[in-house]
Amino acid sequence: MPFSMAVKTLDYTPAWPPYPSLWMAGYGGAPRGNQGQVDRRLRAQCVLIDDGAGPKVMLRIDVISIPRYVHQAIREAVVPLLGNNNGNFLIICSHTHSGPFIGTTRPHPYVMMSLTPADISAIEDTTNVFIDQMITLVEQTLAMARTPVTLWYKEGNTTIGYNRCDEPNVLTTINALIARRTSDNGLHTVLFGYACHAVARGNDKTFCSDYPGAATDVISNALGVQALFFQGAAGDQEPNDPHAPSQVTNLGTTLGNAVVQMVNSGSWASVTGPITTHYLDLKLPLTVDFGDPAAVIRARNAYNERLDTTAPTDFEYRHAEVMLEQIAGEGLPRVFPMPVQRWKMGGLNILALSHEVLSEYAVRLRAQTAGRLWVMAYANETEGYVAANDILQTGGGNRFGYEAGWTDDSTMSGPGTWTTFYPWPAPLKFSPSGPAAAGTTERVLLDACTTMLNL
Amino acid sequence: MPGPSTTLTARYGLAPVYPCSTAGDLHLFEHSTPTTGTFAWGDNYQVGSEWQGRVLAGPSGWMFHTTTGGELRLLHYNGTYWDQFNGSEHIVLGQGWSYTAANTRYRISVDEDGVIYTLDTLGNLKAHYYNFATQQWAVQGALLDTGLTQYNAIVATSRGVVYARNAAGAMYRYYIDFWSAATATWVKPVTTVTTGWANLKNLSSAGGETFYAVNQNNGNLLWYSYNPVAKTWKNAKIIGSGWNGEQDVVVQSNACSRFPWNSACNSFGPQDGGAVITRLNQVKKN
Repeated sequence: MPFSMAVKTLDYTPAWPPYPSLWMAGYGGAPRGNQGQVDRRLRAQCVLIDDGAGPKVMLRIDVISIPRYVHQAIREAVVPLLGNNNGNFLIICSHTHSGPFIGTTRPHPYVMMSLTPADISAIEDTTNVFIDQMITLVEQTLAMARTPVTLWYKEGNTTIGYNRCDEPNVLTTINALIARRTSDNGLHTVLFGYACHAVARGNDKTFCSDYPGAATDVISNALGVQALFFQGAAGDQEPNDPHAPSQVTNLGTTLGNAVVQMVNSGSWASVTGPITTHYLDLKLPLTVDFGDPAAVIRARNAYNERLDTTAPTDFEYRHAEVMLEQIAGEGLPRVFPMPVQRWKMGGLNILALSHEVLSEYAVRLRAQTAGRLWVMAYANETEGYVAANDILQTGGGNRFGYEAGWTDDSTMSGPGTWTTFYPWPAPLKFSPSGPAAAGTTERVLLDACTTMLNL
Repeated sequence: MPGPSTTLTARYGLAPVYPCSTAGDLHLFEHSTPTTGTFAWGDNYQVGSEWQGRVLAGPSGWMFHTTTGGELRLLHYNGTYWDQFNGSEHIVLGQGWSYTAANTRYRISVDEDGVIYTLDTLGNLKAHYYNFATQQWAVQGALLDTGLTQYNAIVATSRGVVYARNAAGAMYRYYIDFWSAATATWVKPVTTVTTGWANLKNLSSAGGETFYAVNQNNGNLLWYSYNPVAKTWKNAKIIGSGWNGEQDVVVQSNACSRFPWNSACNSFGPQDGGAVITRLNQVKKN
């Protein structure tokens, strides 16, 4: 089936002006601000695919994450340009930990780095510049001339990381989608996906697109076309050690060369149309019903006690302050929103999950789905980790509860876990023993994905 | 479905108690020991005004308000503020709910599932169940019993359990048995479950057959708890004083329970797969 495509790449690496602040996201602790150092530049890339029924747009960004309100601001501006169909617009973040801090809610710059209100206000100003740039990029891509193309799909394999939660899943699949010009069958664009935390560089103050950027450079240089990276369910996938600038090049080269080798060899499956899209704003349950005043009172007491028993320099102290502010102000969140999106492209399905989804979901969904399934994560918005039931059950027993969100009390945020940095009052609901029961996170998410994939 | 447990638990370890003054000011007092009934309180603060009429506390922050004009309203307090329903803080559920006069205000009560029970002056005991999730009436006016003219007050408590008081202060325990057989049955008392409650007003329950009431002679707030398995009482513990001036004193109806919490109503609505509706329809006489 003939498609048409437009692709545009923006080097948005923040600098002043126009960016009023250069605070970096990804690692908590001491304030981490960029002062102009750039290694691999940060890209925002927009790809438009039109199957004759209107454009579908993917926006991919070298950034650690964007919170819900930023996602919604971009979406509200873009979706009217796409027939008011939410499914036709998809954002994916690469999750590089060496990019700007976008948004002031989740993760929270005060909890992460103890920033002052003025500094947080500056992050908000930076966020507004970022939002405008992303919307403009989409608008410009929509205005571009479109190239008739055919689309082809293939899976490859390489290993650049490991499972940091000591779970058996190590995701090694490379998903690749290429566009060839209809006119001469020449290569037009390469989209590729892999699941691994973009933390190969480690914690410093240099902007860097990490291994995804390095792989993109390898592919573009070798093939002479734009390449676009899409992150997968990397919530527990860690790049091989060491974490150092040289490792960005090492791992990016490994991945990029694997993609180049795939492109330069055969066995590509034709992607047929039309493209159908679906979008669902799922609501995952928390362990506590924070719509119940008794629960809120207990949380207030517990977080007040945490203020009494921890130091202001502790992450959990600042998290407790944020929780108490919410209780006194807008109220605690009662659910964990999770946009889920599907693009069906003939025999290829793309399932885009928001948040830091752990690999178990990708493994299970791929196993149960006929045909090819490309699972993306960090899609649309990222406000926490979504682990499967066994990790959630374990709490502090696995990596101090980081991916579970709790340590010794499942009714409140565990100190130093993801629910601290993306401030949530409690972890996601799970079954305390045995398999996931109805109404718990794993079941709710897998059932919703299955339903969507059956559409 | 199991029957009630001998163990009483408090889901969040405390019970919100809502006194409402004759001026309509609604406060929240945090009772810290609803399963043991000690004189232990957390904070208290005003959460509303213009609650003249009759206040009823349901489960998980759901509150019913019958106005002096007989309008039944549903509201939800989430611990920080009152939720909005299409721009309003309340949903109107119906008219003709006249429970503000001295001889009727204790003839309406809510159990831990959120079922409203009413006893009219003709002695008809009825159940009404509004589904908080669907925002629809699921059961309206299910007639549970007739001829109960000897009672002047009712207080609903555990799942399907209603206590009724006669003029002498004797309490009688009616309940729906939904665990002994496939079909639920309405069970009438053969004798009193306790006596001496004539001087109590503002009868309310935190769930699990735990009761709060004001001694109208001295204004003490009293706590009682009945274990329906052991058939034993923990009686008349004084947990507060100076409560005589309140128009209503009501307690969140599911702060405590003797049933599994995973099927208990919460702020999202029922979590029991329709069990409440099924059993009410099985025992109703109309």
